[in-house]
Amino acid sequence: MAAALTVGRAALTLFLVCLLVFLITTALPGDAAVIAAGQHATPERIAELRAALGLDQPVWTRFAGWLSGAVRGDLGVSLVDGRPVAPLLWSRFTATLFIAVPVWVLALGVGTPVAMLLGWRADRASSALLAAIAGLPEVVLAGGLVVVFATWLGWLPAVSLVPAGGTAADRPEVLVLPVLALALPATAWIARLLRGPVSDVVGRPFVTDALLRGVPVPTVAVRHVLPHLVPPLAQAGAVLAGGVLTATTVVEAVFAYPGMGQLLATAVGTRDSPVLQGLAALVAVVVLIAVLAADAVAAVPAGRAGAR
Amino acid sequence: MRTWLLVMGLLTVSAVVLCGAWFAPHDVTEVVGVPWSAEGLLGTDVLGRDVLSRLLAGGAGLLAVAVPAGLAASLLGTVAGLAATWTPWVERLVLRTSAGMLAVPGLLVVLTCAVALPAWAAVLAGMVLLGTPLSARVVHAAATPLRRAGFVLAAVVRGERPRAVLMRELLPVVGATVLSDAGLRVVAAVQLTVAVHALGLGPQPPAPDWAVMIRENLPGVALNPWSVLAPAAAVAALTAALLLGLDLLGTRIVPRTVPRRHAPPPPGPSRPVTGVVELRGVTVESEPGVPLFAGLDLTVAEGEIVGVVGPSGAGKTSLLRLLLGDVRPGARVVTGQLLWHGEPVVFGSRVARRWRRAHVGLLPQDPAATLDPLRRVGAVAPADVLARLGLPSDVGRRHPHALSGGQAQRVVLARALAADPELLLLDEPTSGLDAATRRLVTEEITARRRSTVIVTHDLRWARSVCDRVVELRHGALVPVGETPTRPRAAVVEFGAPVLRLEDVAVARRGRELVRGVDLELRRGELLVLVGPSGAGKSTLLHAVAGLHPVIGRVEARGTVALLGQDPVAELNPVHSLGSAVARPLRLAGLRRREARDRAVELLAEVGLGPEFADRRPGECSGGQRQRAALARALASDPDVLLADEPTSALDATTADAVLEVLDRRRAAGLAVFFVTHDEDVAARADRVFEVVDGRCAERVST
Repeated sequence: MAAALTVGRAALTLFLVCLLVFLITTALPGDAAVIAAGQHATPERIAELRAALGLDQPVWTRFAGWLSGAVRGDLGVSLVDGRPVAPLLWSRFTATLFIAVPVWVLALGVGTPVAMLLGWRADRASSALLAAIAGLPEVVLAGGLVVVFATWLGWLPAVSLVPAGGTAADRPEVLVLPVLALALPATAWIARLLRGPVSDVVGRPFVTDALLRGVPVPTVAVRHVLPHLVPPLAQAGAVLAGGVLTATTVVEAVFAYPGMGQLLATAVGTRDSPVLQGLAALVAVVVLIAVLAADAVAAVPAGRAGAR
Repeated sequence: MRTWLLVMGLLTVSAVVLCGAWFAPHDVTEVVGVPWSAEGLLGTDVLGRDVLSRLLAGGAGLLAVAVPAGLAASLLGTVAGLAATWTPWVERLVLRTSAGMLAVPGLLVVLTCAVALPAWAAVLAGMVLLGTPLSARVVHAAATPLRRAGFVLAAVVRGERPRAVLMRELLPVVGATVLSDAGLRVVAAVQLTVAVHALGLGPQPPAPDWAVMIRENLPGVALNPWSVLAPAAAVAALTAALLLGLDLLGTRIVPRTVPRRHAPPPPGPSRPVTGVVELRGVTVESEPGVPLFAGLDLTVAEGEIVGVVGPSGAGKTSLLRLLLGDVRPGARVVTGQLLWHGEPVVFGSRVARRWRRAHVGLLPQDPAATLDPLRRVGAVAPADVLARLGLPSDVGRRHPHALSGGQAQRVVLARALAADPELLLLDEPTSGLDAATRRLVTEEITARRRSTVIVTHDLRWARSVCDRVVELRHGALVPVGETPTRPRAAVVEFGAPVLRLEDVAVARRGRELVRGVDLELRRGELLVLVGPSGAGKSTLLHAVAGLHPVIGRVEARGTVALLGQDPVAELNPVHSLGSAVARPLRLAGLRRREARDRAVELLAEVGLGPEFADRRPGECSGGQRQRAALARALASDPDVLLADEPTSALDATTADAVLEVLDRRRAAGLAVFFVTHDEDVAARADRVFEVVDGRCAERVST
């Protein structure tokens, strides 16, 4: 019953997100027909294109049509080149996972110990430093990393080109710089986010009491603090999943990596609303699944601790 | 006072970034050489334009979009966060939306908006939509714990409007949080703006922009790395400057306690070894200037059981902590030492930690909370000790939540006894125990015949178990029963009744704490209410002050003031003592100048010189702060003073001084309703009421 309610609420959220994105992307003054027709098109030509693209129908009709297609896995065709959106989206999504998954793993794996080190004793300077790293725009890091590792040291390629017909797994070195550019701020962000929970757990009676009884600090950290960080860690991981997926936009555009982020950047530039709608729905699905998974993971220690 | 320097620095950085184009040596669109050549200080860019000129001109657009967007989110969030501390429905709204908004990827929102809106509007919309709830959450989290601080309650009681309480009392104290959060929001806005501009949705060529520069010059990075590095470094520097600047500004707003310097502890006098463990001349400050213990001496002989009693807040638990070779965070040992078989153990050292793990067993107060909820009982204590304490055989497989309170207590006792420690420390071992467990614990303690220190407030039980019982009072140990009695105040003629309670009851979270309170307070009278902790005494006082819902009839003829017990929370750390005392006078309509002069007189009345008027609470000792809080409570010449244990955290001298001020005021007609644990204070009272088992009755003097 509770599980059904949770899934139902997630489905409703997904529906609302899709509706909102649909409304925003269709409520444009200049739509895809204007762009497709070119700069010197006559109003007749634009109207003709609009009819051909189905843009002259009411918003609700178009949303219902899009939704019924989306349920069957058909996300429509791109307004720019007429290709079906769903397969395009899927291939770009899998390509992006080559960047997003390592970033996610690195951020959680490195960010957690950093948070435990810093959270143990509250200190303002490290907090500000973490915030500054977490606040660095990806394009800045990408630019800096390219200058150092590609131009000066010559260790890594400045552009992440993938061989035709292959995947990034064939040339893993092209992934290093994009992953680094995303992982640095993501790690700092995770560390910042988990510091609070770490200091909360450190202040709880069973930790202070263990220290008072003379149990060594590393033992206390692993035995009494880490298990209690699982729920906030799962939550942070869920939020990070959506964040990393969208943050790839800039990095992929900078490194010319053919992933989902680059697709998003192009779609916004060309106002290709079917691609945008499909993308937003995909990211929303990933975030919602991640949040549900985080809730399920967090429920395990909660159940052990006797909370209902 | 370098605050103005920081503000100037931030303004200068902003001005330089905004007006950089004026200093550019070339026009931003002028071609000065071949693309990506070394022409000029930083070379040329993709079209052969001067990088330095474009760098100087390229930050204005970024700053003009990001800073207003970030500050807008922060401002709206601060207002919502403060409102949330006051109004329950705003609180629910803030907590719910902020939890949901955290999972929404900001860049996706901004890019979606950027389809329909110009870049600056998309960033603004994204920040207001996503940043506002987050700021509200942060400000709410910082302000909520202060909602019931003494200075906030005092402001409510003296009749400040909610907006004045939020803006004058709460906002300055959370100012550091607000500014540091504003820094985060501005940086998030910079991050989003840079991303949107880098994707080509912002300023169109040939307009200069740092984000666009990084993007368009990357292909030529091998020829002229500075065309990319310079704008990247500029963005990074701007981000760091905004973040650190606002954060530092925040730390300057709330003055922190200035620790005073102390001479190093002199070596303790050499005395013959007398016990297993000994505290020798230990002086501890709970924070600079607030003494917790003064020259504490305690010796526990081999096999001796020592009981320590004393009123709540006297520092009994802190005493046990000293016997563990540790002090609580924030407190520090000024002089004295801990000896183990005559050998010194340095407080808070690693040696002390190893020593207590090997030789000391501890049963802490509220033992159930010290069990890690995720670890099974079997991992905490060995099975044979658990069985000896009469716990069921399957207890080892259970998690702590599946234990009753008495079982949890026995599990923790088993943990303490597991290694048969030479020294056993027990903190309130019998509180909240049923008769059977109490007997069991008593037997375990007496059967051991090894050195034990027991902290308790149950004097009769302590006498039955311990070899000797000492009392902790005003930071020193005295044999029980030898407490000095203070002289009774001169008899004052009582005037007309000013406060009447008829059949009053108070409840907290649906549970009734005290009921059937019937009392009348007359002018000049000192009425004391005593009773155990958690009996609802403070809640009753708050109900009389109008801070808590009241059941029954409370009739006050005249003005009421409230004085709380925690000298740290009584005064707003941001306001000087003078302005804190002057505030009720200003509210009563006095002019700034008059209120100021009167505040100095009031401070003098409680024994604080005129120099204290300009000091902030962080520069004063606990006793000085409590005197200033008393001066503030008396400033509006109230008819009734409601005092909630105002002397419990004070040393004997300051406590006497506070009581003497009250005696003088009583002679002039002030009625005092005093809640306390302290029987010394009760001895000065005209009438004493006592809460026993939830009922309040007048104590008949014997």
